[in-house]
Amino acid sequence: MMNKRQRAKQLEQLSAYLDGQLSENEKRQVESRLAREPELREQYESLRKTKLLFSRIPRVHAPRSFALTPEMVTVRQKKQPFTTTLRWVTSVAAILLVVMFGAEFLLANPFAARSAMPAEEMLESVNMEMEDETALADEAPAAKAAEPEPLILWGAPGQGGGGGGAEAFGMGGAGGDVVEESAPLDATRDSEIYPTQSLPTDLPTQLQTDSEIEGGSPILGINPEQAGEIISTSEEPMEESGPGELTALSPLRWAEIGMAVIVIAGALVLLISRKA
Amino acid sequence: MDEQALIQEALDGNLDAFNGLVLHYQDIVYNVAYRVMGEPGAASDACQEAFISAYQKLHQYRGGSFKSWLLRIVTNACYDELRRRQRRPITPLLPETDDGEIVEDPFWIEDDQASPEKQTEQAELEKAIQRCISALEEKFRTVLVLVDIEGLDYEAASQIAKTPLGTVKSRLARARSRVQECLQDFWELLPDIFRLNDEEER
Repeated sequence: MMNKRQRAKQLEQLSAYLDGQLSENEKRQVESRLAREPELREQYESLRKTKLLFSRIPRVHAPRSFALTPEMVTVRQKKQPFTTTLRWVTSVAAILLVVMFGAEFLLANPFAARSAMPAEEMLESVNMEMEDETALADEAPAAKAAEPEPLILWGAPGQGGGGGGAEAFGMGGAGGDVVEESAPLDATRDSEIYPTQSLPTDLPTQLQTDSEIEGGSPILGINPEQAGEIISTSEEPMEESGPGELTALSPLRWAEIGMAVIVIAGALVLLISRKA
Repeated sequence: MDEQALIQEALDGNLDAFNGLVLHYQDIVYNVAYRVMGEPGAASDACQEAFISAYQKLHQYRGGSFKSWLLRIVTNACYDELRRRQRRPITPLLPETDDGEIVEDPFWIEDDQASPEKQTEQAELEKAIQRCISALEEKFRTVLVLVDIEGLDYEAASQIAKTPLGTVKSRLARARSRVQECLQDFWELLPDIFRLNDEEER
């Protein structure tokens, strides 16, 4: 039983034999098989008749003269260089744009840059970070005594939540009427989520009632004495963004904008000229 | 016709000399274009494009068979035209019967010596074969048209299609086999001697 490949090879040989395109040796082999194998002979006959059919279809004549006029040639000569040049310029601009975005991404994102490191370097850098973290954890108790404890990191991912009672100044999460149902400020749970952030162990494990938090800090209804130092990360970008932002764009950003404009304009013109 | 002299004059900017070449080769070029494209309007467009392109690229012609060089240009023009028509389908401007069937242009079907019945039969057969050719993928279609319809050898087909000789061989075999299978659907149209299998087998 022949597989698909063998059948294709056989068909190819028969077809070439039909056109007299086989070597003497191959030709003898095919002829010998044709004499022995009726199925192969039948396949050959079918091929031969198909080829013969093509000779039955009449040749078609040109329905008109295709002689060129000077206009046909001159119009084309003017049009061709413009679209060709535009196509080149757009392609180069698109490539440059991708390269610039890639470079910017790698420079701005250390993780991405690190992922491009060879495996050994990456392992080394991970080890170094782990050592740093261990060192920080060792120093933490001493530093904790000296510094006020940050309770909330504004803008840090996954924080917030909770919410006080009906009148509490809540932040994040839906405030509920029942105090006990609010997200607990459990120190042990928080330390599981943020292992490097040490929280004071003497924090209340439950939120205070409405009367206790009245007049307190606007942050999750916690008393100012317990609030510690508030680290705000959201303020800095707000200060940066201002009317001078556009002028402060780096030359790389300007180049990217320029390239993007060229790519979009070029693509549009090419698209329109193609449809026209 | 002194082909080389006309080419040289055309290279010097003589459009009339080039048109001498156009008139000499336009039937062959159109025949190939028609069989590859499958309909006259598209074939005419591809043909005209091919001659314009040939005039502009004449300085790239490096000797050898001018016919093969032209046929390579026309097959490329056919591929371009096929892509263009795939993007923007065009309804052929051919006369239609009341049933919406396109009436073939009798210009090339007509055979003065044949009876009306024979002519109809011939036209139907041609239509069936063309339909099967058109159903092939472009690369198979081109090789089949060049070798089996235009009668070129494998070497010339290989140069025109810009593919190795072995590829021409395999594509041709597959194309023939596929047309053969396709023609079974047009059994009634095939003349007795061309029926590919015995009646009992069907």
